[in-house]
Amino acid sequence: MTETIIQTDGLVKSFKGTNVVDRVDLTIRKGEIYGFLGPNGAGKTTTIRMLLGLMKPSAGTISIFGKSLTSSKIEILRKVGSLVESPSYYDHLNGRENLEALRKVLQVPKSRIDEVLAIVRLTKDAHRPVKEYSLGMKQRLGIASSLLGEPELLILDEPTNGLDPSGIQEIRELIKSLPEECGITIMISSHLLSEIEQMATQVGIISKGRLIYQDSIEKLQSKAQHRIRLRVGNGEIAKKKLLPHGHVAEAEEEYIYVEVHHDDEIASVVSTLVKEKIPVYRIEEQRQSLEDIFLDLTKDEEGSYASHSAS
Amino acid sequence: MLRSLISSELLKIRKTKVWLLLFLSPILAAIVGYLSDIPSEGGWAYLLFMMTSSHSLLIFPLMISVFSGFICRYEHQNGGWRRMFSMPVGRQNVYLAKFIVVFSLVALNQLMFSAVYLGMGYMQGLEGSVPGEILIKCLAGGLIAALPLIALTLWVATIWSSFVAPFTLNVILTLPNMLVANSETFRPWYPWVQPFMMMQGEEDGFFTVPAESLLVAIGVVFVIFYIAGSMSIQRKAV
Repeated sequence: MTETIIQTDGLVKSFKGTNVVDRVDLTIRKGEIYGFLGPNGAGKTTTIRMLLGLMKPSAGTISIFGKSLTSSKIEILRKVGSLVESPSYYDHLNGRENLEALRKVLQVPKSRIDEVLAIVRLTKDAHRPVKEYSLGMKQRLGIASSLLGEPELLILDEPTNGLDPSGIQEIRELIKSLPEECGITIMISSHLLSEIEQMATQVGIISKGRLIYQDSIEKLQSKAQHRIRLRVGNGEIAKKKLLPHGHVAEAEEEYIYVEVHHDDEIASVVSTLVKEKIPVYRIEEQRQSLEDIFLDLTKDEEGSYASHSAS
Repeated sequence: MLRSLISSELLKIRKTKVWLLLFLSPILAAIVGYLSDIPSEGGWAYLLFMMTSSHSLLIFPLMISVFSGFICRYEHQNGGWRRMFSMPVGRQNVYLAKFIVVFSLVALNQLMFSAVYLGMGYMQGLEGSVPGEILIKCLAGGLIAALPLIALTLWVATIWSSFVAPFTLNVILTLPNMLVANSETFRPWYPWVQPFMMMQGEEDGFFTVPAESLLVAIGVVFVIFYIAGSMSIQRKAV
């Protein structure tokens, strides 16, 4: 079993009587890229702020690197790099001075500044005042700051927010390369499933403060229902003919849908249809997309009246 | 740890306009010194009295809030507090580092003031020797009296992101100085008038200030404000 890096137990944060984060049990293991997914306002940033000790939990415990955050905060933070919400920076300083102000506190060698600038490709713009930076550059500077202390754990909150497609691509590649190159663990939050899907190895889904899913991305993908759609001319007739043979199908105009778990089942369905003289024009697999699963999961949480707008 | 925090603060504040403001109070003091009509007897002491009055009664207390405002301003603007507090440093150390930098700026301001005083004195061709001991007592006294004011303005500056807030509060508290300075009852106890009391260029320097007033108006008030400020920063959710 690999080492657990972050473990929260019954984590709660309440504001004015509502639990913004509600009994969350996160488990993040070494070397993972943990995608922390949820609609805006689901409690992602609040959870992250608690993990970094920026805000005190109302209840529950946090342990990072096997140590309690309350008793060993400074020791833990020494090994954590972070980017929370919008990037933090001092806009009256230039890029290099921004990093230097942090470097002095972190007490790492000066050469580390050039290294992180190179990683995020800001070397050329390091002398420019940050107020002239584009949002993407500020975001990259934020990532550079988070890498400055050579962290073992990187916590990035919506790192691609507000970036253009090429910027997103760049950050994504950078994040994917980090665990391989430096062996660090990454927790990354996003409200976009597609983004997490492309980077993460583990996924935690939070909705209305509750952690409603936590497992590997593969498990999430396998949750997708596989349905086979057959074009058979008249769906209703086909459905009736199949039933005595033990095959349950749904009919819709000229199609029938069957849920199958083994290839044998579909072979049997097809041979039945052929025996019953029902033409089979087309057989296709229909996979529910991850986006649909995500919507289903979050919809269940939100109750039947909630809309999908949150995602 | 504290040393590296202070050096980081210095780097951050160096690039702000605070340095221009450092010249403000010496320039005003120079104008007062230049316009003073100095008697031939005891010229140096008289010049010191003239210059410290305007300096310590108004400008000096106001400069303190400007320094406190500056050292917190860049933290409020773009998530600086969040960045600082997610670093492996204690919040108390961050607060203390900021306090020390503000105190140093105040000290620097006092040094610049005394340089202007000496400059003005020689320019006007004053006779006799410079009252060195009184000058030093007066400068040090002003610095000690500045402690509660730094503590309060820094506390307010960490809470309110607006730069104007600590300044306005300080103006409100400084304005009564003119009245309080003339009141036998309130003068020994009102913290904002203490820089003036301490910097009065009398024969005995700051020893004219009664000990209990020194202890209460400066010592106790400073401790209360500092603890309140450091507790507030400890609890601050960012």
